[in-house]
Amino acid sequence: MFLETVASSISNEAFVLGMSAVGAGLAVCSGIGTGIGQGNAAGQAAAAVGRQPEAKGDVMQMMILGQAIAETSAIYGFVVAIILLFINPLVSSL
Amino acid sequence: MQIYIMPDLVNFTLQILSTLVLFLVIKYFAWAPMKEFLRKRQELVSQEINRAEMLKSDAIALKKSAEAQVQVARDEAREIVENSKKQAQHMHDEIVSNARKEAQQKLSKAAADIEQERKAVYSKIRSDIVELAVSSAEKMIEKEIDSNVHNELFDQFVAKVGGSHE
Amino acid sequence: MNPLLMKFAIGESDGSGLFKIFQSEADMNPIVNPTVFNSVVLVLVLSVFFIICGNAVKKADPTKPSRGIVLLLEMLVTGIEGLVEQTMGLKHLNFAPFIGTLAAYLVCANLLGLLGLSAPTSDYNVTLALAVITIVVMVGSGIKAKGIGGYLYDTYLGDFPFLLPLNITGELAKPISLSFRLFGNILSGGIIMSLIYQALGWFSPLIAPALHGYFDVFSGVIQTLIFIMLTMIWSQGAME
Repeated sequence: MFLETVASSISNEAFVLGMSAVGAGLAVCSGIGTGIGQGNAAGQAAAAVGRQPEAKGDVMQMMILGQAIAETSAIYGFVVAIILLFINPLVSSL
Repeated sequence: MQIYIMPDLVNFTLQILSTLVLFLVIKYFAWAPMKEFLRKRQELVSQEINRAEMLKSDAIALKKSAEAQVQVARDEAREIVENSKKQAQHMHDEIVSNARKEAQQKLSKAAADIEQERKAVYSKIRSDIVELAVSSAEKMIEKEIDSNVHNELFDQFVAKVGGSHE
Repeated sequence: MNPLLMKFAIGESDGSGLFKIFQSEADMNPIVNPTVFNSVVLVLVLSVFFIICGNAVKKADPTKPSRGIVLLLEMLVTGIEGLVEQTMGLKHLNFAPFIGTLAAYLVCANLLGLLGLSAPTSDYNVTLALAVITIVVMVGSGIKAKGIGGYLYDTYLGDFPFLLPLNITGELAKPISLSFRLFGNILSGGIIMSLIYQALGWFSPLIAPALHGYFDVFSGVIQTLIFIMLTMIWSQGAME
């Protein structure tokens, strides 16, 4: 009953916009894996520095480069979220 | 906040052109002069190093020759000192031996003189005694000779004279 | 942030939040985006600066230790050449001016957020243009080194011809990932900063400097480094 009134009172565009927001939120969840991976890389780098303190500079550079490349997936999720929020491709296809 | 995510031709082309302009400017107006500058500096540094190397080898050669000269001078000085020492020793020996010889000579001469004098004195005394004895004997003969009394006198006299000369 | 500057460089911010729809063509009144305008201005400023530097270098005395802008240019040139030599080897030192251009432009563009302007790299036009230039340089140097047939064979077929679809996907992903990485990093920093400014209001000057330090300085420098590193590694990979 209540849901019916809500569904009939809501416009198509508003529904698509809301769902886009939900989708954007889900897309940003790709950051979880990136976070885990980057943390793993940092931990391994710390262990490597502990084993071989004289190679700190190389380890650091390698770690930052690898982390930045691992960040790509999070960035993709972020870009998808941005597209959903700001470009609204779904609204125009109504 | 405006978000520009859809590429369009105008902005894209503008960005490519401006990046190319920046690349060309940096390559020909900044990078090339800087490379030239660094090359010049490198050349200067290597020149300086070469010159320093040359100066160093020169200095080493100079030092070596100076050391050799000092060594020669030191040797010479030692030789001179040794020579002079030797000479001085020689001279000293000579002088000492001369002096000793002379002294020996003088001593022996003096001894010979003394001996001669003594001999002369002896012979003179003897002749004097003989003369005196002869003259006293003559006198005693002229008078009478009491052999007892005068013999005693004779003996006394001769003993006196001889004792004082012995 | 200075509202006038904001209006000039970032666009109108009417406080309607992030969900405002910038869809209609009439809304994009200027043909040139303010970010690209900033980028062009930045390129002009950098060009003038580098020309001044070059003139100063021409007049400088190589026997004395360099100072001022000559020292700055010397540090840039020697640093980039060291990086190129370390990553690509001594025979590819002719890449150094291109890499140096990318480094100088990207560092300045990413740090433009500190001045309250919107960073040019938060516009996808800019990053896509840079990525396209990089890919063109990469493919061009590969073709120059190995000939067009050799380049295509080595890149797409190689030792394992059944990997052809994967290779095609990987090659297509290169410009996309290169451009989106830079764009997403800088844009996310900008969005978070503008949200912080909107949320905290007068309180923001206490918090904002540290966040600017992370999102603009650290992130910008790291992304610059990654962009030029990937350019060098891919170019070298295309040539071998």
